[in-house]
Amino acid sequence: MAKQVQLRGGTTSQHSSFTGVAREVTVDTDKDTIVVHDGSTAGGVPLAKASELPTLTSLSVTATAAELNILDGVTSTAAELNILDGVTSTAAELNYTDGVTSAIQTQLDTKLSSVADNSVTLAKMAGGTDGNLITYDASGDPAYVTTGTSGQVLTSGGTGVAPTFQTAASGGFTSSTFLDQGTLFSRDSANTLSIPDLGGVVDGTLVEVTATTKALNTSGNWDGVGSYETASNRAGKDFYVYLLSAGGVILSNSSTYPSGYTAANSRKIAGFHCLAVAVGTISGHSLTGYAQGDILPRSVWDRFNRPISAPEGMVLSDDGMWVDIYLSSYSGTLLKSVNGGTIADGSNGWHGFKFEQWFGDIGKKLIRQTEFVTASIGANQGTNIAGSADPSTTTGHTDTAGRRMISNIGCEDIVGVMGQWSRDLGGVYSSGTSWVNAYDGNDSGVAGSHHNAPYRAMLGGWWDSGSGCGSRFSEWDASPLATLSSKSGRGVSEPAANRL
Amino acid sequence: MNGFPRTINNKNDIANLMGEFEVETKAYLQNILDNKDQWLMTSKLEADDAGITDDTHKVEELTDDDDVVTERYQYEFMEDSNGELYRLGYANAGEVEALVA
Repeated sequence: MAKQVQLRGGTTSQHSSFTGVAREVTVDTDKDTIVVHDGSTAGGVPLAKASELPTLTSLSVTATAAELNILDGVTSTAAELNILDGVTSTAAELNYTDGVTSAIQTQLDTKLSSVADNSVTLAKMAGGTDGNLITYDASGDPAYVTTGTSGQVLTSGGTGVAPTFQTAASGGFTSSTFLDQGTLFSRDSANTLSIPDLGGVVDGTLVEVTATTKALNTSGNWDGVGSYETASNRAGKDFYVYLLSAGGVILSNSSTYPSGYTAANSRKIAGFHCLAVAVGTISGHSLTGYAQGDILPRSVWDRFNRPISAPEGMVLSDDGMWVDIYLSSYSGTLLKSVNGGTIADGSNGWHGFKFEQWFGDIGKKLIRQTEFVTASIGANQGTNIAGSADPSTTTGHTDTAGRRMISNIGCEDIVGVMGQWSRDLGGVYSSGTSWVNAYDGNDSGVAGSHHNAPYRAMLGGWWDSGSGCGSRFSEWDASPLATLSSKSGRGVSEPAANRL
Repeated sequence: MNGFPRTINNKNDIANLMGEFEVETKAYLQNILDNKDQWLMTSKLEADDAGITDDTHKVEELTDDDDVVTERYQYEFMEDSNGELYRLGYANAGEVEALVA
């Protein structure tokens, strides 16, 4: 170089107080750079050195000046900008915060505290353990009641104590006699019993049964003893319905408890009697067409529809009295109404007084004439038993016309077989001034004499009375001590008033 | 079953009762045994048949309203085959006697 140009200059400090003229150039000896002056700016304008410019050789900047100007005025530090490092949100996601004017958490808390009524669904609740219930703890916060074991009941712990599942106190129903039902048991059809809605306590357990039927011809409905699903095996027998602590009911011929169960886990709640001999066709008769082993509808009894006496072998008459189906038999301990029994009559010492006494022991009475007329309607009228002789035993007999001797309600041999002692009185058989014993050698444990005592009516007619037999037959000339083989008895019993 | 039953239907009932009500059940059976013999009609007698009359036989006469004998029957005091022990399902009195013993 031919000529050397040296510009005047000074330190950065000296420049700060120096104002050069317009278009003058000086050198900042500290910064090693040229300073351009404009005649008014103190210190002038220092130019950048190459070392101070960014390396642009590797950049591929496509931003427009307007886009770059978006950064104009940015005051964030690099650390603040680095918070965005790693953010993967899209612009749309970031825009969800558009318009947010306060802390988002605060806004969410506000929203949660104002959930609308009935807006929380079951699905929105936290999952839990099957059988748990929700309660509140001492702090008033929701808490679980732990699942109990099968059969336990929820028991309150009182104020301030969460409830718990506990074993129920024995016998929710403290009375072991509890038994209730919606309607009466009844005959549903020939071989089917109708069982109403009912509930009862058996062995401390409340057992409920929804109204149903029990077919007698189905073996599974019986306790397995006697093959009573066969109609002929049921002829002239009494059967029972037992409520079981295990649930449901079962049929049985046993009067104590059904086979396979015990006195504790079964309870007798109803019963019925089955027809001894088919009725055949009798025009206008309530039982026409009934077959052997069919349920006698008037014999169906239960707790709310039964006599004071034992209900076996009895039917409910239209006047509300329960009447023996059969003429009386003697079991050795008591008088019974059974099919196939030897008829208790005067040949074995059964007279009117004795019948009265023995019937009284079992809650029965001799039948009255008014009761007899009601109970015997539908029986043969104006005929006697086929053969016109003492049948000796009870069952479903026929008359001289071949007609079954059964009344509408099911009383057998009630007309034209044996005279039946009545408790109706009439006339005077013991006359004069003398007193005579009102007992005889057929009695025991009884004494007493009577004077001017009345006759007892005999009802129904005899086995050889023929046209005189009928519902209105009565003979009023029998001493209550008369013992004739043609005189027997038929018991009646008042209806029980829901006796336990 | 609530106490000793008013009705006993079959020998299953007897078996059921023997545990809890042995005394009562045996008394019931003894009554049956004591009364198993009854006066039973065996035949209708013809007018000229006097029949048999002794400790175990008797003749029953039936009369009409004028006290005229119209029918006569022969009776014998003997075991009743239609009696309670058979109705309960026992084959003979010996079975019941064994239970009472």
